[in-house]
Amino acid sequence: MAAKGLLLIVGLFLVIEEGIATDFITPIPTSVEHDKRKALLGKKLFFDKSLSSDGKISCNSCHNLAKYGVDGASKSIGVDRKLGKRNSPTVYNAVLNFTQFWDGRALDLQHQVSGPLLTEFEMGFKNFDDIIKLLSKNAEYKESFDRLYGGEISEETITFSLGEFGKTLLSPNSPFDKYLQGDKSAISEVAKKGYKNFISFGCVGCHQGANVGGNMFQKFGVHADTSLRGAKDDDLGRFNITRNEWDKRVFKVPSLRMAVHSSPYFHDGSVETIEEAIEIMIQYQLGRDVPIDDRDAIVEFLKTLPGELKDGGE
Amino acid sequence: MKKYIILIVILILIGVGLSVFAYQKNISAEKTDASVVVDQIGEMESLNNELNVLLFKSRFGIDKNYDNISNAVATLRLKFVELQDNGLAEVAENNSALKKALDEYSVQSVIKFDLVENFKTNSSVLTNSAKYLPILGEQVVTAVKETDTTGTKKELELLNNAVLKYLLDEDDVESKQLIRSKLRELGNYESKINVGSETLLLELGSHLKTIIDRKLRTQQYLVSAVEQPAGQALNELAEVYADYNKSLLNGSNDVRNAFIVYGIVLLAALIFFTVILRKKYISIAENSLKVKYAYAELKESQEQLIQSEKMVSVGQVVVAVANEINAPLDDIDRNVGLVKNNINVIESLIASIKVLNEEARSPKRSNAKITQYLHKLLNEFQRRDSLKSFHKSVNLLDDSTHGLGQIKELVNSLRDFSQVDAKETESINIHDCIDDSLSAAASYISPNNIEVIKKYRENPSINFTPSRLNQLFLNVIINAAQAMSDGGMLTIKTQQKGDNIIIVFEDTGVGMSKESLKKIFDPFYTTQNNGEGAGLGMSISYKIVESHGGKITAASELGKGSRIRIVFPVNEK
Repeated sequence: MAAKGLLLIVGLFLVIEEGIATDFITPIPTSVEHDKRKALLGKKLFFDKSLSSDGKISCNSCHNLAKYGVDGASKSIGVDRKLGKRNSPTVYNAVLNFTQFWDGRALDLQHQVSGPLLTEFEMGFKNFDDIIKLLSKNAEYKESFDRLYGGEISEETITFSLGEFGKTLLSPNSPFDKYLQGDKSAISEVAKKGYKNFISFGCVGCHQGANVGGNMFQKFGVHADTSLRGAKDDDLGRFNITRNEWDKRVFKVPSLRMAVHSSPYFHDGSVETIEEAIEIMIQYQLGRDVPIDDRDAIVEFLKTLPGELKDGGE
Repeated sequence: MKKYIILIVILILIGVGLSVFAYQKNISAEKTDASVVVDQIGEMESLNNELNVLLFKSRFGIDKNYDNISNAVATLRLKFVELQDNGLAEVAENNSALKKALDEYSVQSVIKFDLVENFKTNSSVLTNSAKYLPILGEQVVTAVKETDTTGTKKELELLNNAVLKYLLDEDDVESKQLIRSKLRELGNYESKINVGSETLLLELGSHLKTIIDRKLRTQQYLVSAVEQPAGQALNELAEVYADYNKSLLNGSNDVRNAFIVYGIVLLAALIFFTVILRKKYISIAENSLKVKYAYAELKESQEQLIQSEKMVSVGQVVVAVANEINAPLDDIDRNVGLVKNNINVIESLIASIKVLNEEARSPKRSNAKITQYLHKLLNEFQRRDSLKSFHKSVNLLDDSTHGLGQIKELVNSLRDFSQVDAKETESINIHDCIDDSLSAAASYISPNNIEVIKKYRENPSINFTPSRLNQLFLNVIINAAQAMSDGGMLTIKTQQKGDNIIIVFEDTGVGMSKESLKKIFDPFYTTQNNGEGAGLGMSISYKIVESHGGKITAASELGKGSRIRIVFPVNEK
C-alpha cells in the first residue's frame, strides 16, 4: 500500500517535473564509441572463411553485409552444410540490442562472438585453441595482433576485435530518422499513416527505441498460442537459458530496422512475407485483426527504417 | 662476543621481517585504488536510483521506450564487472565481509534485473490491452443487435466502465469482480451480437483476461524491482569497502610506527656498539703497549740468558781444560824434580874435576896428589852410576817436552773455540768445527765410554759466527753425551741436499718422552737435576740456528735415543 502511494506521488512528481515525453522511436546514432584499429582487424576476421572448421564459412556467410546483414535463409547453413536451428538476425545495429541472440544469452557483441565460432552447425570449432593456432600461422594476423594486443592471440582479443567491428555496423540517417529529426517530407504520407498504425495497433509497445525493438523480451504468443498457427517449432526460447516457467517461448523482441530486407521472419524463419508477419504479430501478440490497408501502410512505414549502411572498416 | 652477534642477528631478522610485512601490506593496498572504487560504487548507486526513476517514468508513460532502462541495466552490469576487475574481486578472496557484500549485490542485482525485464514484458502487453479495451468495448456495444431487448448494451456499458475504473485503480475490487464474472459469461453474448462481429467477443475476452492477469502483476514487478534491495546492497558494499580501506590505512600506520620504533632501536644499538668498541679499543691499545714492553723485556732477558748459558758452557769447558792440562803438568813437575836430583850428582863430579884441574895446573903440583884426586873422581863416577843418571835425565826432559806439547795443543784448540768476540760471520768448514767441538767435549765423551761414529759425506762450508757454531755443536754433543751416561754410540752424519747442508746427531741414549720432546727447545727446560746447565742449551741452539737462517728439529724415542737434525744453507759459490 505504501509503495502504491509512493508510486502515485512519484508519478505525479515525474509528470510535473518532466512534461516532455520521450519518443517511441529514436534515431540511430551515427557512431558508437569503438577502437578503430581493432575494429579493422575484426572486419578482416569477419570476412575470413578460414575462420571455420571446414574453411568455407565466414561471419559474413550468414550475416552478409551486402544483404543487410542476413543471408535470406530461414535457417542458416553452417560448416559441412549443417543446418542451423534459428534464423540468422541482421548484424546491423546489433550493438543497439540490449542482449544478443534470440534468447538474449549474451550480454554484448564480444560475448556473442564465441557462440557461432564454437557451435557445431555454425563455424564448427571445438575450442578456441584451434582458432588461435590457425591465426598464429598467418603472418598478417600475427603482425596485427602483435601491433594491437602485444602479440596476444586469445579468445579475449579475437572476440574483442570482432565485437569492435560489430559496433561499426550501423544504419543511421534513415528517412524515418530524418522525419523524427524534423524533416516532415522525409517519408511519404502512407508511411506516416503506417507509423500511426504502428503506434495505435500497439506494435510500438514492444518494437520501440532506436532499434525499433531489441530492448526487451516478449512471449511469442501473448493472446493466442502460436502453435495454433500450425507452427511445429517447439523452440522454448529464453526458457532454455533461465528455466523460469514464465520464460517459455519468450524471445528477444527483434529490431525492425532491417525488417523489410530480412525475410524470412521470426526466430525460425517460418514466414516468408512481411505482410504475413505483420498480420501474425498483430493477431497473436496484440489480440486483434488488422485491415489490409493499415497493414500495407505499416509496411510502407517499415520501409523508411533502413538508413545508410556503415561498416566502419574504412 | 657471542651475545653481540645474537643481538645483531635479531636486529637484522626484525628488519627483514618488517620489510616483508610492509611489502605485503603495500601489495594488498595496491590491489584497489580507493578513490576509484569509492567513485565506482557511488556511480553505481546513483545509476541504481536512476533506474528506479526510469521504471516509474516508463510506468507512467513518460518514457515511451525501454532504451533508457535497458541502457541503465547494461551500464550497471558493466560497472559491476569493472568494479570487480579493479581488484575488488581479488581483495574479496581474502576478505569475507567484502566477499559477502559483493555476493549480496550480485544476487540482488540479478533478481532486480529479472524483475525489470518482467516489468517491461508485462507492461507492454498491459499497455496495449489498456489502450485497446475502451475502443474494443465501444465496438462490442455497437455490434449488439438492435433487436436485443435484454439490456445487453447496458450490461456491456457497465463492463466498459468497470474496465476503466479498474485500469485507474487496481484495488477497485468491485470492478474487478464484475470484469471476472462477465469474462465467464461472455459466451452468452454471442447470440446477441451482429453476425460477423462475433470475433470481437473473443478479442474482448482475451484483453479482459490480460488486464485481470497483468494489471496487478505489472504493478508488483515494478514495486518489487524498485524495492529489491540492490541499492542497500551497494550501500553495504560501500561501507564494507570503507571499513576495509580504513583497516588498510591503520595497517600502513602500524607499519610506519613499527619502522620508527625499529629505527630508534637501531640507533640505540649503534650507540651501544660504539661505546663497546671504544672500550675494547682502549683496552686493546693498553694491552698491545704492555705486550710491546713485555716483548722487549723478554728479548733482553733472553739475550742475557744466552750470554749466561754461554758462561756456564765456558765454565764447564774450563774445568775440563784444567783437568786436561793438569796431567801433563804433574808429569813435567815430577820429571823436572828427578832431573834436578841427577844434576846434583853431576855437580859433585864437576867439583872433583875442578880440584883435579887446579892441582894439575899448580906450579907445585904433586903427581901423588893428582893420582889421589883422579882415583877419588873415578870412584865417585862409578859409585854414582853417573852415566845412567844422565841418560835418565835426558829421557825425563824428553817426556816433559811431550807433556808441554800436549798442553800447547789444548790451549790452541781452546783459543779456537772461544773466539767469542768474532761477531762477523766467516766461512767455516763444518767437519772441522764438529771435530773441534768433539775435542772440547772430550771430558764428557771419554769418561762415559761413548763411541763416536762420523759419517761425513760432503764437506761444505757455511757462513757462520765461529764461536756460535762451536757453541751449537758443543751443546748438542754434550746433551747427547749426558743422555748416554752408561755408554753408547753418537753418530754424526752430514749430507748436502741441494743448497742445504743437513747435519744429524744420533745418540743411543735414554731418549725423551713426547712431552719432553715438545719442550726441548723451550728455555729453562732441562732433564738434568745436578745443576749442569740451566736448561738453556737447546733453546740457545735453536736461536743460533734460526739467527743463521737454518732449521733445527728433534726426534726421540724413550729408551732408544734421540736425533737432532740441523739444516743450514750452504755458501753460495
